[in-house]
Amino acid sequence: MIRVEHVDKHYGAAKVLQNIHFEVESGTCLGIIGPNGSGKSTLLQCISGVEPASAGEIVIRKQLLSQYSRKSLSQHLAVLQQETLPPVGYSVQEVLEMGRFPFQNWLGRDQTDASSLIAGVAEQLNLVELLDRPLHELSGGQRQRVALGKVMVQQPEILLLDEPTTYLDIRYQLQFMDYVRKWQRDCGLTIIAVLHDLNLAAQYCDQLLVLHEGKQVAIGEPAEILSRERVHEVFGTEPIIIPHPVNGTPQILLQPGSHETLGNEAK
Amino acid sequence: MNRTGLLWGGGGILLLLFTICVSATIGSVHIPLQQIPAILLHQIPWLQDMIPKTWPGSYEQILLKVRIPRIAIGVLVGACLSLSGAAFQGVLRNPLADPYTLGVSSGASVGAAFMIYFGIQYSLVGQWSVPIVAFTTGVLTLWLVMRLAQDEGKIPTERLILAGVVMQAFLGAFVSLLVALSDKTINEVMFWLMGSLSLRGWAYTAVLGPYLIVGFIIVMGYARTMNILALGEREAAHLGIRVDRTKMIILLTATFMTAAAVSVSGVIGFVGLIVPHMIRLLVGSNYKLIVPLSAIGGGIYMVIADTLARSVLAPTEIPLGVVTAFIGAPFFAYLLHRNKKTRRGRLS
Repeated sequence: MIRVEHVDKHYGAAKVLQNIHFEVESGTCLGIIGPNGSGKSTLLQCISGVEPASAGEIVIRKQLLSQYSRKSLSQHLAVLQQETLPPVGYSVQEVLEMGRFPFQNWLGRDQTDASSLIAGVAEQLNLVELLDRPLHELSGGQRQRVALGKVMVQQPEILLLDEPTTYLDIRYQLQFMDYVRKWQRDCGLTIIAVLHDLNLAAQYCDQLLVLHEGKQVAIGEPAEILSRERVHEVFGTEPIIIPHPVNGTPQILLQPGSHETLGNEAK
Repeated sequence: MNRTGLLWGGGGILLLLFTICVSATIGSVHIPLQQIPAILLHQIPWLQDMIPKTWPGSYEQILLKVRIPRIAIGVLVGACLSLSGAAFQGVLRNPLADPYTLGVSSGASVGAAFMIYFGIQYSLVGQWSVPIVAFTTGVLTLWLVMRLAQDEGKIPTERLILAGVVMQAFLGAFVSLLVALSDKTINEVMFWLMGSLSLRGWAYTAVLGPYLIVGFIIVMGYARTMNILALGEREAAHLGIRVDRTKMIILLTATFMTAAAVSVSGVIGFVGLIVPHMIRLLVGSNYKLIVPLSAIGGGIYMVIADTLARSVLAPTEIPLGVVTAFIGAPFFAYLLHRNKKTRRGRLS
């Protein structure tokens, strides 16, 4: 579905990504993990086409990314960002309708009638009572749900998530990831997600890609990727890793005082 | 949604026509309000026979040769400026943006002040010398600002605003210098800078009209795109919008409209800033409504301001820029206050 071939990205002299090379199969979820500044978000921006890669190729649905027009790309690929939607005066209904923009002609007519689709999404995400409320009256968690609704209305085959749960409390984090997982299973969605929370990443992703200082360190299933040594090597902290008592995915417990100080890191 | 649009649009056009008729009654000779529509409709060939002529010929002369041309250019200038203001605020997503953000007004002012200072304002092509030079220097300024702001082919909004501010300050100083250096012509330069619509015949309407029509069609065509831009540039890119291209097209369109308006009327402040905000406070943040209503609202606002400018201290004319600020600021303060109250009311 998505093939990233030897991608480099630099800004001037600074090399942000070097030789990134992986493939994501249709209907699976790839999580990208790594410390701050390791190039996770940049990689996502390259795949979403808003930042061109400096070298290498990205192939989406057997076609080069650079050959898509902005509009035709957005008919297949949607992005949900870390920042929730800004608190503007649009109603929830209006924002959901904006998800149809890639399918509308210049007069604003849709290729298909989207009203039942929008109603269905609102139903699924419990947004029905909020439909007439303006965005600036909603809480952060509700706004992120609206943002998810908007990308669902976009009906992509590929979804890119950039730390979507950062500003949510644990209940909304789980709720959000469950909505995404359900959507993935219902529609065979392919997902690439940058996730900060390693425990969430281990539970919701089929594959994990580890980035460190712009380089690809490892890719594989969560159980092989999340080892004590690797977490130590990449994040510079000494964790305890235990299997989740219910589903067996690796989960990380943090130990206070076990991180390397910045001085040690420099050595 | 479509019904509210029709209601607001229809109401706006009626209000504009009413304002025009009332404005046309005012002047050194009073013309009764009920005769104005009759006189105007009488000019339309097919209707001529249906409307009996019940007014003195002098009324017709005053209306058609003096008052209506001035009102028409007022409507066009007001519409151009507030339409550009709405476009600038939509694309730059900055509430302080107005048609002069990119330095067009100061560029045009430099050209005009230069012509007036050296007494060559009628030299090349008669009354058109100042408008042509002002338009040219205005567009040149825009080009300089764009060059200054661009960074690896992209034009970041913050850089654009800063480049505009810098250019405005620099050219503004140049204009001030010309004003300070001239002793006898000081009023003329100052008066141009503060804007006026006096002695603008039908020819000016014919020149400005096409700018407004083309500009309106282009900006209106991007109304849906501007709605999405309000969610952020990244978000818009992810929904399939070519953000930089869209920004360029809208900013260039708005700036050309502004340069055309400024070159015939001088620098009339406040309209382009305040009218789109008023419209937004009234109808919300949908650009499909904001764009057309800003054009209508700008026309109404300018006709009212110009009527006051020519009548309050008649026969002396008050500079138009002074009037637009005098009536605009308090009205805007009232709308802000009302908006605060209704928002509280909804939350409690």
